[in-house]
Amino acid sequence: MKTPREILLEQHEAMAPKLDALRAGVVAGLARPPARETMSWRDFARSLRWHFAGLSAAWVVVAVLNMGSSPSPVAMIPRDKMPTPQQLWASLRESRRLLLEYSSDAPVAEAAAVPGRRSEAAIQQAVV
Amino acid sequence: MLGVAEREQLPVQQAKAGEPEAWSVLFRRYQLPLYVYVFQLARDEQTSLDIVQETFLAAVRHIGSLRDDAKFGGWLFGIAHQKCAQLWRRQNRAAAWREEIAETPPDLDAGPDELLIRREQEEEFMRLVNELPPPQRSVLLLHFVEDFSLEQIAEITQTPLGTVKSRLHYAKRALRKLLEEK
Repeated sequence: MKTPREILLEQHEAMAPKLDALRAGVVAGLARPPARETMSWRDFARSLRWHFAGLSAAWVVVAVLNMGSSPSPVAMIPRDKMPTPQQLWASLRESRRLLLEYSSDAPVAEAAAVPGRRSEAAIQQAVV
Repeated sequence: MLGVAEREQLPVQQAKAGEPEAWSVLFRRYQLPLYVYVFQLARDEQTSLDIVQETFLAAVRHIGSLRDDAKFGGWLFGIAHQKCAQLWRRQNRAAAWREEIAETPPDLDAGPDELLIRREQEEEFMRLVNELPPPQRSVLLLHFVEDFSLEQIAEITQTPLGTVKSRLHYAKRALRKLLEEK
């Protein structure tokens, strides 16, 4: 007469050598000191590549949103109301004349305040 | 009643300290009962060996979570049981685990030692164990192989105590019926 425990264990006794080998393998893994992991800067940088990629993508999104939401003042002026280069030049000349007039007592001749073209100056020198 | 494992002095503290020799003693003590339990559920030699190995590795990794050293055996069987349950889930045989019987917990009078089997009944006994539905088989094996208490079996299988009582009652009744017939 046997107990159920005895019968069950006897049924699988033949597995003992395999189980011994399995146990030895697990215990051997415990006895081995864990290998020290050394990581070069290259490996370190490689491990962070997805972080860098994510940050770059985030900055690109920020830049795009920034451009889209705040257009430059020049871009906000309608094209048909933009001053021509001649008008700009005239406005600059007027500003300069007024500035010189306020800074000195004598009235400033408009012609003297405005520099001529370099090509014209060269021609005048040649004539003199 | 103390189970088989609880009557022994096992070097659990030394294992917790990471002593390989202590682990070797613990694994040697449980390797065969654990294999028997896993094999009777998985029914495949290689799969059973894999599960036993995974159980040992998981035990080493999580030994810190074991609070009561006297319950090392139950804790180890609990890990193995979970791995068997995972295997069954992977094989889409979870329905068999859920197979239930009457929940009424009957009174359990008999311990595993009182059931004695004659040599000519051994084969029939093994056949019957293998024919039991997995939940009953699991409970019966834990009861027979390691003499775990009902509370421990409930912990190992993560099943309510009433369900464990019920499963064990029906499994043992089926066994007795067989042995009386012969």
